[in-house]
Amino acid sequence: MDSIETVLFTFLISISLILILCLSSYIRFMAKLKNCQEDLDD
Amino acid sequence: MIRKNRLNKIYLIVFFLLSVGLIAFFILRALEKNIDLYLTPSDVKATDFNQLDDFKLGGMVKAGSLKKLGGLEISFIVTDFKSEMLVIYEGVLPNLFKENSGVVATGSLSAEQNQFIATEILAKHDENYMPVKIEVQN
Amino acid sequence: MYKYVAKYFIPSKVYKFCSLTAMPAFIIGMIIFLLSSYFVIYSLPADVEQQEIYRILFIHVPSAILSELIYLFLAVNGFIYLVWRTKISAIFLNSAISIGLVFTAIVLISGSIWGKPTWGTYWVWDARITSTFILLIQYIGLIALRSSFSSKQTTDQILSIVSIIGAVNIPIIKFSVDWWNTLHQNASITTSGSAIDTEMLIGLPLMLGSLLLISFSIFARNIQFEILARTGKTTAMREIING
Repeated sequence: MDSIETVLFTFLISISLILILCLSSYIRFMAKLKNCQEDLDD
Repeated sequence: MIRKNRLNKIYLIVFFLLSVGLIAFFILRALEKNIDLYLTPSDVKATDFNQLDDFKLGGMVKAGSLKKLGGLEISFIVTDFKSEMLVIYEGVLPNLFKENSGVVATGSLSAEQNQFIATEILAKHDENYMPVKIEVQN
Repeated sequence: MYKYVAKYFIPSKVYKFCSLTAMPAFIIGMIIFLLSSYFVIYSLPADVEQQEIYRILFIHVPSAILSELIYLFLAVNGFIYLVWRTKISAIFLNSAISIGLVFTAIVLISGSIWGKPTWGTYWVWDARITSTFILLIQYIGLIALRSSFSSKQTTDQILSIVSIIGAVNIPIIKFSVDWWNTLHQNASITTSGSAIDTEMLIGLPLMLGSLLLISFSIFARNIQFEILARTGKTTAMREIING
């Protein structure tokens, strides 16, 4: 890998980690919301 | 106004934090030996060294002191602008290793204690960042 | 003062604010991130000493700033929670931990990739790297603690105490390069000015801003989750979900 590719690779790893956290937080919240709404409907 | 019992809690936490800070300070003093700190040439001259012990030597590569000894072997002088020490090294060098630039070498003193036989060389770069400028001719 | 601040931090209001802002913050944050990444990787000039590889700075430094700021945020919220017993501080504390962990991981990974071509090594137990590694362990510890107790209240108190104690490490990370003879270079940006050329410097606030926005969107979703998880009564829950 040349220097620019290494830099690009570093940015890609970083944003992927952040996006994984985004997704897992979102999924966790949506699951909880669905759960609560079902409880309310009962 | 902050209520009396809350104020007491704040004092308690601040006192607690100060004691933790103090404890951390002493733990750090004790752990200093376990992290990779380097010694300057002056430090090395000031301490009585067993030449078998490995340690790190850091400073600037003195301008004009870098010499090729044949093959991959090189020698250069590390300076902290007060003391100097000759370093012998054989192996691959990091890209940023050059004269007038920072270096941290791992190794030990030679039997005569006058030169440092390095087994690893790391380049210590500075905090300055300057753009590459295309020379403009006028 | 307390009652003026408190009225903005009622869970239902915070929940509403978060549900309105999370998505826009994420989208704007991502757009700025992509544009400024392109800008710092392809448009900014190379560095005299390090050539192209110095560009890692633009992800490394903002992540480092965030990893430390988020920890201070945890400690401040822990402090407020312990003194005033405000539930919202505990919610904030719980919601920010995972974001801090990710940024600390990014600092160590990007620093490692940067270290090989410049210093000549991926890893060295120097003062800055060791103290940052301890910060990573602190975040992991907080996440482990979060699921170790059955009662929410106990968990919040323990998390507050631990995060306050751990804040001692933040000045150590900050000043490690000044206190010890260590491989990591000193701070480029200090009160006396910047050692990064002004032409390159613009990349830092751009990247930091975009990462802040994205972090906020994660933070907002975590807050919403925590509020739902802590609301017991049906009437209160209905009020929160239906706005």
